[in-house]
Amino acid sequence: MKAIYNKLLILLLIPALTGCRYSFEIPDNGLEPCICLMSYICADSLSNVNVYKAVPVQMSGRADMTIESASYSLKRNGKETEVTSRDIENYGISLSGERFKEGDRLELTFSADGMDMATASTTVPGKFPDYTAERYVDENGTDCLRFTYDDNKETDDYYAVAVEIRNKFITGENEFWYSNDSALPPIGHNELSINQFSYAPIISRLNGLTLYIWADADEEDNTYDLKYYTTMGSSSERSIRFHLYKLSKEMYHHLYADYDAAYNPFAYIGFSSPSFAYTNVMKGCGYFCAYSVRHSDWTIISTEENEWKEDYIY
Amino acid sequence: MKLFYKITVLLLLMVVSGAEAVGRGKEEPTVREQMEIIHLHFDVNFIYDSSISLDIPSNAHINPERQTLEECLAAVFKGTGIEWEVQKKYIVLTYKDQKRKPKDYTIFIEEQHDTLNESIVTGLIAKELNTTQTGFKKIDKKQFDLGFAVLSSPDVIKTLQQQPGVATGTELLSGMYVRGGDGSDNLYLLDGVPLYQVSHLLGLFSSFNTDLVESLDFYKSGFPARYGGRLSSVVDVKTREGDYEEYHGLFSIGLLDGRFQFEGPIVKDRTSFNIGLRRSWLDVITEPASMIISRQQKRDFRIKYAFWDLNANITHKFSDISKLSFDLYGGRDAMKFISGEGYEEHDFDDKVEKAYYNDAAIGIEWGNFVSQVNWDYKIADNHEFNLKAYYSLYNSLFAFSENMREGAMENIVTSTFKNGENRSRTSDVGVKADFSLRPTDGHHIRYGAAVQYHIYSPDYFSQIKATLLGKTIVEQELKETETRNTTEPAVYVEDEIVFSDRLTANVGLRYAAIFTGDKTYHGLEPRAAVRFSCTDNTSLKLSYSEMVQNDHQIASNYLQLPTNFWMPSTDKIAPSRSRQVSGGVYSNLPHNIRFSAEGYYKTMDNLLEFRGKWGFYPPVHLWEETMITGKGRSWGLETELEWADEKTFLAAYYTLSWSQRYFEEFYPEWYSDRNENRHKLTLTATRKLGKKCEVYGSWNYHSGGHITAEAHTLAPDEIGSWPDTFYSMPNNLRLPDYHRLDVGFNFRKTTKRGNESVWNLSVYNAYCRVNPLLAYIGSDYNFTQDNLYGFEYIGEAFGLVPILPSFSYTLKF
Repeated sequence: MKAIYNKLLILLLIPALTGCRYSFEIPDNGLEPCICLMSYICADSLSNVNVYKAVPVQMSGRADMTIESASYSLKRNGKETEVTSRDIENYGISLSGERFKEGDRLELTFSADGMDMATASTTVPGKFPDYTAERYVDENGTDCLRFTYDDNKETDDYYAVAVEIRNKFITGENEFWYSNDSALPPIGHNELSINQFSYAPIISRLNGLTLYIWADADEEDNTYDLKYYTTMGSSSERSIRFHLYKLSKEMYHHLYADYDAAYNPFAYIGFSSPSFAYTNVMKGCGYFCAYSVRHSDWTIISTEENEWKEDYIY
Repeated sequence: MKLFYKITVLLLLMVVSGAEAVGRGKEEPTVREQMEIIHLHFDVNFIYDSSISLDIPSNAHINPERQTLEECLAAVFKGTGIEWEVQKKYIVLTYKDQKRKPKDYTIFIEEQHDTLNESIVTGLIAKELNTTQTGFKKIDKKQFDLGFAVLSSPDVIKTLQQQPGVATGTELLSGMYVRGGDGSDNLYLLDGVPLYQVSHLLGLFSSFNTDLVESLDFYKSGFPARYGGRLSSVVDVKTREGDYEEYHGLFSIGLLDGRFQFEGPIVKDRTSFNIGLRRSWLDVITEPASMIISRQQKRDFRIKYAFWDLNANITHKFSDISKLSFDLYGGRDAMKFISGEGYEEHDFDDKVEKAYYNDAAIGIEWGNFVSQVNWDYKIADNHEFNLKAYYSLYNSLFAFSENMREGAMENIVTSTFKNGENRSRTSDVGVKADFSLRPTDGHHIRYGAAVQYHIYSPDYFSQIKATLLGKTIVEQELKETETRNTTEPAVYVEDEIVFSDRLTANVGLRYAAIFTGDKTYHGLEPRAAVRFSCTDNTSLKLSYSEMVQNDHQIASNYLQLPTNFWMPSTDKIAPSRSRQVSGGVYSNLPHNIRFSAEGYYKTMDNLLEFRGKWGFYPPVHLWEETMITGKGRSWGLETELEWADEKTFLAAYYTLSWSQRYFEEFYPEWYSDRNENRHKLTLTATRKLGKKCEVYGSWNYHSGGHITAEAHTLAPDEIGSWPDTFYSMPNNLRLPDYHRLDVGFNFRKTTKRGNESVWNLSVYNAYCRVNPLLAYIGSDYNFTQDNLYGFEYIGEAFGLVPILPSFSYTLKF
């Protein structure tokens, strides 16, 4: 009797507990090949805009990816600027323009091969404001940096910082070499978890560096606390320097979206707000955004003789 | 004709036409015109079958100033073959040889809420034709009893989800997304008191026990001014008073739940009670079944789920003009999931060399408690008053714990214990005073005031404790508490105006405010609806309404957890506001066909979305910082086509709709809402097979919802490597279409004691269409010649709800 009861229960539960995974044909939703823009415009530097032909994922491997005939226009504060182009790998085109300065409003249009004309715009931000950086160790023994800066309360501003670490190793008499790396979040803290104790910075990558980003709206008291560690082992001498960025609104949203796509487990299955899908390219895809950066000098933070110091002011 | 009556309800309004009828002087008036005079003088309405001929001459000389109502009626209908019966303020007309009176048919006057005693139940046809409001549906108990019993239990929300303009969202996480709404913007009223959470068991059951529901008013647009506080819809559920004469009730037992309802007099003709109780049986099945699975899989695995709810009403009639009632509602859902697993490595002596154990538990609970006192008082024949005082509590708990232990040689070396609890508690205390005044025949004025005091108090607690060789190395606790209090006063006035028998309007104004912290928001919410009857069988309607929502459901994902907490508008987050224009044509066609088509355009401001560092729950103390505001807009066309005879009812509801969102942080232009179902079609049919049996079926189809998925890809850097992929815009991928067939069968029987019993068999998702619960873009290798890169992208979906048969047995006594 008990066995029958058990089997009956399982029988009743089978429909309720049986999941079914299956494939479906991705609907085209009217999607066509489109222009993909990829560009981080750096203030006061020569910057490129890489342009590719993107095809709907259903056509991957089956579509011609080359751009045959392209027409484009880059306007700076409403006026046309001179742009040169060259072919790059993966069937793309690279556009090169002049150096752009703080406050420049850039508007790019690009069309090719009958695809919809893609448009994107961004504004080159000014320099990261004056700041001080204070090194300290928090209650958990984690290395921290506190940046205090002059934020303009009248404007919405977006910032980022990368901490570059240089380790000097001496391998023999008069022989040494350097190893450069980014400061990373404390172990286990670069991925967010249900545990709200976690220190959870918003991180991204730019030019090979780990970037910590934030908006001034997130930090009411003009400070940004960064916790980090370095993966490098012991060295004879360790130095750090900061790269302090001011981001355009578009760049902040784009980097934030990258971060969300990487760490939000609900992002890919439709159970999350679509913050990971940001693009500012209309009728196309990709990103077209700008930033400015200022660099600090290298500062030695530890040597064989010079060990860790708290409250170190730069 | 004796089996089926076309439903015709006549409101004899028209001051002008009435005057004309009297003023014709020499012409002999018709019975209809005499009825108009009676209607005007005695403020009564007539209910009759459309087969009754009223345009016959009447030589009666009535003088309402000196005669009683009965005397006038006797005079008018003398010799006409028509019998009359006064039921409160309604006069029911039948032919003398007609065995059945026109029960079971619609009573529809200019106000939707007038009902006779319960022996005359509102029916179906012509409601939309005669009401002023657009987007309005009235559903009564009889329709619930005769309608669909999804999983063998009739349900309010499941019934509403079949309506056009209502998207259901993801299966198993189902909600109501009305005309582009976001699911938390529906005003659920249980006898006038707002409820925050109305779902049991992942939305398969709602909190409303249909055994006690008297009627339900559902508004999608054209909201009367007496309603406020939510953007997208109003679901006004009214429960029944108990019988003042006799004791009776029912009990029902089904596969998933059991119900009991009992009512009767406490003091005959004075005081009555009505009580209903439901409880699910799932824990009886799931707990032992999970133990079996646990044994088979050799790991600890237990799942337990149960819900219950209770409705109780006591009403005392002091007199014909004064009545006091006390209502109580309580409901609770509780789910517990426990999982334990581990492995051990043994040495040659079979001693444990290495061991790892992980025990986890998740508990989810939520529930509502509502108590209220109502006093109904008739100030005069044309002036009524209702005073309501209530207390409402919604609380929820989401708790998890995890205990990991690692060891060697039978000793636990390290252990980590994590524990977290999200609690939420929302309390309301409120007083409402509503007045209903009919100063003249052409006006029905409703006015009133309300004040609510809210307390929102979510909190979060977590702790971590880690030990190494028995010594504590980490011990942390975190507690976050947030409490917000708000006061929301509101006043309103609305007037149902009858300009003529062809033109009516409902105009109103609501003024509402919220005092939240140091900030006060306030504003006017205009409402207006106009109906113009082109012919006796066709009406045109147009409405405009603005609604304001002061509180917001805070969620960090789209899982629609019933444990998500609510918070008010603050100095940083303003109230949401919607504006909607709606209009359409409503017609009774020949051959018992009813048709309506209604279009709408709606805008919504200050909608909220989560955009914080990811977490299963939004941080309690930083919830304002993690929410961003945006806009929404939706438009569409909804059509209804119904046909009925005495045995059969067929209906087809179709919706064509667009729903969009604009959140600048997500995308600089408008994009589709995730719950936009471009096409929605519902086909329903019921058929009586003899006197004892009914069969029903419902086929639900809608275009798939939207998710955000990679839409475009570049060429890979090299063959075999994965290329970059890009999103074209949020919610760019439409899921496979949703469709499902539900069928059911009722077999009614009279027991030896004369009680009615009903066997219900129903099948949810009869052809086992596994609709997607979640979906994503996956990839796979493809080495066919036409694929240059050696892989391809495919859509992958996961569904969880196959065919679900169920049954119930109900005995009415």
